[in-house]
Amino acid sequence: MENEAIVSVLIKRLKDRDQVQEQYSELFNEISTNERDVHTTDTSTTDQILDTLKKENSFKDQNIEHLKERIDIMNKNIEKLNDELISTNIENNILQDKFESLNEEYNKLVQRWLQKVQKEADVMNANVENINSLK
Amino acid sequence: MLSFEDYTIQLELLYKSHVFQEKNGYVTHNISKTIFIVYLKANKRIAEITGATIVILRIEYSQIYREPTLYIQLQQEYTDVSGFLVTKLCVIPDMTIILPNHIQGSFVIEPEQCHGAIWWCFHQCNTTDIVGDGELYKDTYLKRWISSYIDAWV
Amino acid sequence: MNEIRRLVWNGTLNVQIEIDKSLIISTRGDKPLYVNIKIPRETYISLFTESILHRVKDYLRKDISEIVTNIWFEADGNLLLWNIPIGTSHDIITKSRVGSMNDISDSNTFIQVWKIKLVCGADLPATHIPIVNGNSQIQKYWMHQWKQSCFILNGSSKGVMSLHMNDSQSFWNSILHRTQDSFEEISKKIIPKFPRKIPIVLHTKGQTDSQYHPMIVNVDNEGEKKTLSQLVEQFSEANNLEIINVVSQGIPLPLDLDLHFLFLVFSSFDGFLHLIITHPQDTAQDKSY
Repeated sequence: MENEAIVSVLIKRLKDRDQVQEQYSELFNEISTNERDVHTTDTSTTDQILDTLKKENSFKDQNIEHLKERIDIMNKNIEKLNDELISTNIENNILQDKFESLNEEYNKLVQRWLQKVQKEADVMNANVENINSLK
Repeated sequence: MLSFEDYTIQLELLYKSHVFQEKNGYVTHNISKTIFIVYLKANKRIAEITGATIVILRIEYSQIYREPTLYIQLQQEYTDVSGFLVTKLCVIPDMTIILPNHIQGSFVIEPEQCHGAIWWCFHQCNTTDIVGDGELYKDTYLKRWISSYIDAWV
Repeated sequence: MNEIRRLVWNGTLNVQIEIDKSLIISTRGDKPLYVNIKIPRETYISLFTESILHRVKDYLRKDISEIVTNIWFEADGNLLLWNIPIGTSHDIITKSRVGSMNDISDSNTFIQVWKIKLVCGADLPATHIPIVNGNSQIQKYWMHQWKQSCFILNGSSKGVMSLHMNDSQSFWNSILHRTQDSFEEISKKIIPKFPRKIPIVLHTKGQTDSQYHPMIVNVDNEGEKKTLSQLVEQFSEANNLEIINVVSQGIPLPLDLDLHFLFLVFSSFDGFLHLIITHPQDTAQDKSY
């Protein structure tokens, strides 16, 4: 390609590129690298208050983070306690069952013992009566 | 200046000489034909200044400068909330603080992208001035480079 | 030639930046917050981070200085590397490119916008160079790019290293304040008339983190000047790829261009010629142009 021809092709393409970008480009503001410097000179009271509040806000954010961590730990503790509670409950139920069956057995034993004692008493009474009648 | 062929030959010799493997605080290494990576425990000075526990050295060849190039990473090991040992990249505004005072001015260390991670690169533009490239001493170029770029501070 | 340089230097992009929701005060509800700006193609986007945030400072939950080190930019979920020219990033990422207004059926309603995101987070992406020292760090990085470029062009970095303090400061200022004349004046001191080699960075379309730095010998053994098609052939053979097209500065390039000439007119503000290579699987848009 001839040098001049190349140059004009490239220029044409670059201009086409720019034309595409320029369509409605007024909606996009120019920006500079140092906009912060332009505005920081007027530090009105509201700006100062805003700055302090932002600092306070980020301090609170940190606090929230810490508290969240603590909540996590607390939640884990609660879970542990819950588990323990459930296991002691189960243990309690088992002991209750055991207690009831033992109680029943005990009552039965007492009943049988009373019956036995009654029988013995009856036998003894009969013997006494026999002796008396022989007299 | 060191040609790529000479670099690969000298790198292999360096690897075989075990200078890094026998160093104090040596942890592990990784080697290919052109790249040598060495993991070391951070010495007391570096640990105190930066909080890092591991120093990773990466020796590579720069095709642009035709020089060996040193990249480093500092890592901090710590145990996280769930009790796992994890490492974190240390980001330090001025990496030259890891060097002893008297050589801080000799090196420029800046972060760069390198194989999908960030490494701090010791700039190469004055390498020849630091190492010296007389034809007679050509065979020990990498060895001298190591003594200026690594032994001086690790 | 000066006309091309002027167009390259003055190229801009219409960019809509969505601000990370975690940075915005909650009273705005869930409404996204945008900053619409016209940004020069030939710059690093991170030079504008503070200015962008400044535009929305009334809606920010925190002070700008507190968050600025944890900011990066993304487009379509891809990290935008701040350390390559933003125009190049744009050309790498955008899928379809409109060649000229003639290609558009309804030019009344057409608008070209690049939508990107300003993201803030504690864990920076792995390939994002952390900016901890603000603009002075960016300046150092940029100077280093020029040192490399100078080394490739001249065989030594002396051209950059021996710049007068005033010169190197006004060189940087020309980037900050967009003054082309002083930029060209100082870069002329670094770029020789007959360079030994040409500094080029090749990017692969669609992949924001793939960069390859070839150094092309300006004139081969027979005194022939190297052309873009020779570079393309060399690269596609080495990587076993079919390359459809090469884009730079937002336009497709004729492949018979002389690389030295291309460097002189299209090189970026960091001293490198950034080229984006397009494969057949990429959009056919560039091909038809």
